[in-house]
Amino acid sequence: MKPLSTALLGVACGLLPTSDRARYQAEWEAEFVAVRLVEGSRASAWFLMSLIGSAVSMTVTLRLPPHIRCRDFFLGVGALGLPTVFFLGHGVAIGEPIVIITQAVLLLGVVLVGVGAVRNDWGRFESPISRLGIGLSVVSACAITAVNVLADFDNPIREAPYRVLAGSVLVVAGLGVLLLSGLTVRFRSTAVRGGLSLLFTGCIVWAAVALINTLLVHDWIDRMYQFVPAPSLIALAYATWLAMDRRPSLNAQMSSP
Amino acid sequence: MEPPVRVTQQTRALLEQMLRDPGADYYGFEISKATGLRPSTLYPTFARLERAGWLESRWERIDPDCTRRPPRRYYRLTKNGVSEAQNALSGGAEGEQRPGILGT
Repeated sequence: MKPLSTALLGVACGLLPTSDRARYQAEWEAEFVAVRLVEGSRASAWFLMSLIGSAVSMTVTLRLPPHIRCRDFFLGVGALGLPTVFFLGHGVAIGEPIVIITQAVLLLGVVLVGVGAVRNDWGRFESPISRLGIGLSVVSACAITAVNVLADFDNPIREAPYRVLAGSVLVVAGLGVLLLSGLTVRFRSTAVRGGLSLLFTGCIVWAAVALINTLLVHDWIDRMYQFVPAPSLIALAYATWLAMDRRPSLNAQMSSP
Repeated sequence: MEPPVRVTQQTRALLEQMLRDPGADYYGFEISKATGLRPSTLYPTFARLERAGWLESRWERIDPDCTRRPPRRYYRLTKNGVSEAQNALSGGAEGEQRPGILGT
C-alpha cells in the first residue's frame, strides 16, 4: 500500500474502539489491496474514501447494542442536542449568565445521557453516567423553568400566546421519577413506568403548545424560538413510547438474579 | 441471550445474498459488488450481525508472499444466523425490532 493510503486508513481506524482497531485495519487493508489488484486505482480510491466515511458509524455501531441503528442514535442525539445548542446561543445572544449556565448544564446532561446510552449495555437509564446525565438535565430543566417564570429579561418563550409551563413541569417530573426509580427497588418497575408516562405526556403537551405558538406568533425569530423545541420533544415522546414498550422485558432482565 | 437485530433494507440485501449459499464464505468487497451496498453500510452491518451471533468471521489462510496480498476476512452465516435470517426475510418488516430510548 502507498504511504498516503496507509495513513488515511490509519486515521479512519484510529476512530474505532481500541479492541477492534487492529482487526479492522488488517481487514480493510486486505480489501483495499484486493480491490486495487482486481478493479484498479480509481475503484480502490473510491473504496478507501467509503471506508474512511464509515469509520464514525462503525465506531458507534461497535459500541451500540445490535438492535439499535447507528442512524437512529445520531438522529436522537441530534434532535435533543441541537435545540439545546440553539437556546445556549440565545443565552449568549442576550448576555444573561443564568441562561447560559442553565442551558450549558442541560447540554452537558443530554450529552452524558447520550454517552451513557452508547457505553452501557444493560439498559438506557441504569448506568451511572446516564443517571448523572438525567440528574443534570433535571436540575437544569428546573432552573430553566424557574428562569422562564421569574426572570424579567426579554423572553420570547414566556411572551408566547400560550405557556409551555405545564408540559415542561411534567417532563421535569418524569425525568425526576426516572432518576429516583433506582432507589425504589421494590416499586422500581412501577416507578420507571410512571416516570416514562409523565415524560411522554409532558413531551406531547409541550410540543403541541409549542406548535400552536409557532402558528400564532408573527416575527420569524420568535417562530424559531417556539418551533425549535417541538421536533426534539416529539422525538423524545416517540423514544419514550418505545421505551415503555420495551420496559417489561428489561425489567424482567433486571430483576433476575 | 443476544438482543434481536433490526432487519433493514440493507440488512435484507446482505442476508439474501448470503442465503444464496448459506455455507459459503464471503468477503466484504464481494458482497459490496453483488448487492451494491457501499462499504460504509456494509461493514457496520457485518459488525452488528456478527455481534448478534448471526455471522462468524475468520481470516483467509493464504501465504501473503505467494498471493502478494494480505489475507482477507471471510464472513459466514452461523446455524442460528441461517434460521434467523430466513425467519426475518420471510417475516418482512415484521422482523424489525423496536429500539429504545433517546430516539434510538
